[in-house]
Amino acid sequence: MAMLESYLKKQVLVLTADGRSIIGTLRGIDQTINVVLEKCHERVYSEEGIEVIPLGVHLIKGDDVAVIGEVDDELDKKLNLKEIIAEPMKPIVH
Amino acid sequence: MLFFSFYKSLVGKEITVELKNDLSITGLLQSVDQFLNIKLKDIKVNEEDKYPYMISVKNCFIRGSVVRYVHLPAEDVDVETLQDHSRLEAREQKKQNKQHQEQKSSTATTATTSTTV
Amino acid sequence: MLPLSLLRTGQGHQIMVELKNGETYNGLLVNCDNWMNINLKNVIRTSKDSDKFWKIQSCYIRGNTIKYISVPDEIIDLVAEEEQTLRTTYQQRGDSNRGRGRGEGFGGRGRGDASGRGRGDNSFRGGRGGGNSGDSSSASRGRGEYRGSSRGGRGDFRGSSRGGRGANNNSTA
Repeated sequence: MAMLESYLKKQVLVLTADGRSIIGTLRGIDQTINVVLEKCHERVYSEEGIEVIPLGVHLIKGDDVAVIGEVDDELDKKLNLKEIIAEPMKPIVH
Repeated sequence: MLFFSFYKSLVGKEITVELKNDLSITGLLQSVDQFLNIKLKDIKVNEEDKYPYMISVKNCFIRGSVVRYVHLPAEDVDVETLQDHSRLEAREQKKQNKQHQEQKSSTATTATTSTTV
Repeated sequence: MLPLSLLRTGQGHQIMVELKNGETYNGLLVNCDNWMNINLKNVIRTSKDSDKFWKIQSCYIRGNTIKYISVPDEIIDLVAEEEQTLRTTYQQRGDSNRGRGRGEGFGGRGRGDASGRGRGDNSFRGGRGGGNSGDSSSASRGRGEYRGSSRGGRGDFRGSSRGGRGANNNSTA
């Protein structure tokens, strides 16, 4: 919990266990790594570039969280989402 | 607990964390907790063209349970100390087990004596 | 803001729950607990591939099967508001306590007097705390009281929904 406090109120990227990437403002966390994201959207990767799906407020269960990344807004603004082509992320397999 | 301490001795060093979704992230180890959750600084995803998911991320937190491997810089790992501590922990584990068994057997004997009486 | 506070505040609102098996449940959040077990009513269950739909009067979902929950945007503001009122009640109580403490300091020069009054004060507060912990395990006194009041409301809510559930027992349509 203490580890994630420095990310609070910042734009973060959550990679989930089922292979999604969700971006939003980190509003809350707890010791099981449950995460509250505000104004979040999902980035769906495919051959046609990244599709953005708005999601609103999401509470993601800790079990489903794989990585939480601090988004560098400057870098992120420069991205051309249509030109980034990649396969969907693989799910976590335990 | 041993590996928690071990990771703590590697704070500041560059490590590569391979996740259970095949993503490999290289960065400076910033901190670690008892669940072996890891925080990395100045990260780079290996084969970034193939896995561009974290292009705009510099620092990240990785849940301990999704880690498959951690690649460590060989020169920063003191293998002998690690072995020593492993032995120490094994010995302590043994001692505890023994104590447990002794406690159990002593309660068992008191139980049998009480029944015979 | 704790994720569970968000959910607690979301009671009485429409939410969407996705389970680990990919099914989603859309419905009114009736109740939840610390394990994120939840009760929904007027639910629409959607299959993993969004090709089948079921209408369910009410259902219970075990917390550990949940992948994520989507809540209406305004809930975040509600939580923020609640936290703010909590903070002000804390502050007010803190001020009044401090005031009283100072009073003791001035008036009761004798030690016995001061400690005696202090104890009286404590036992009074303890009594209040006990009342709260009686109906739930709330750690902090201030919060306990605050929650106590809102819990009353929820209790009513629960009561009525339980009636509903009972009436439509085998309601899986």
